[in-house]
Amino acid sequence: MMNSLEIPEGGNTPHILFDPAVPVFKIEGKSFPEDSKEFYRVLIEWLDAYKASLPPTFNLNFNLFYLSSSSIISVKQILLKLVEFQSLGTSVTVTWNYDEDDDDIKKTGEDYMKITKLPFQFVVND
Amino acid sequence: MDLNKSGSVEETIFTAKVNGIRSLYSGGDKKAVVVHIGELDQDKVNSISNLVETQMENFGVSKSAVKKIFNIVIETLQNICLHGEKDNNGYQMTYFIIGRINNEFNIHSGNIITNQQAERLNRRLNSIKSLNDTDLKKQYMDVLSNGELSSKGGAGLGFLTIALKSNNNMDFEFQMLNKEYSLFSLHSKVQG
Repeated sequence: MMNSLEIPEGGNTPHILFDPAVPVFKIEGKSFPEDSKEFYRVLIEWLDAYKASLPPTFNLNFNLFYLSSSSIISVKQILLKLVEFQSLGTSVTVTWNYDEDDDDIKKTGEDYMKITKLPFQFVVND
Repeated sequence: MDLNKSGSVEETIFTAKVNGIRSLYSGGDKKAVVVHIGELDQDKVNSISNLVETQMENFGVSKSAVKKIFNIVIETLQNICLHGEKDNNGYQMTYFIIGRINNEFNIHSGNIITNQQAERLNRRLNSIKSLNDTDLKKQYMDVLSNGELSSKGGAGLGFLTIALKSNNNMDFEFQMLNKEYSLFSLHSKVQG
């Protein structure tokens, strides 16, 4: 079984928890690191390694309330990784959580759905 | 070029610009609510953005407007961190001012860029400015679909984001400081 990956929330970075043993895969909080490519590199590498284990299913949970433009590109790269999982036979789903009055974040999720064509489920936070 | 040297041509142009902006927000319903002049790094970006968020919430600005303003502030400040030039002594001359007129928030920023960058940026911003809502959104989606992060970390979405969040209420100006450098000023507006 693959090791889990956890990055605690920072002042401008989200909490990341990827643990296949549970399983739980989530990215939560705000994201505006100075170097977004560098920040998400670890996660991309982790996903590449996990992809090789050919998991049957993969549900990625997002609950972000702020994304800078460079983070928006990085999250797209993560979703494109999931497309690679899908093409190898993994059943991929994305859950996109957002606050009821947060049209911007909802819209960002819809943009991603359009671009990646992954199955998205939109959930309003309680 | 020594931007910190009082009385130099460069310093005079910069100071006149900052004073001009500050004078727009003095008295009555007009107030400069955030002012930062001088160097900028990621720590300062974090402290300024925290300050902006708290200030806006204290003013009772709607959550969606706070987010729009916060968005513009982050894109503006990170742009400067990534692309702002420093003078010969490593000093980075920047200004960042948020001016409030009743319920309207004006976000002003300025930094030094090379004249060559100024030319390119001028073309890019003029082309963004000429787009209507639909085309702006379309260009955003194109960049999002095809964009990758450059080695500097830029994505090409920053100015499009500022244009979208301000409903294309975005003005800019380039003032040549000397044969190498210009002062790039950006101003956008959000209704609170």
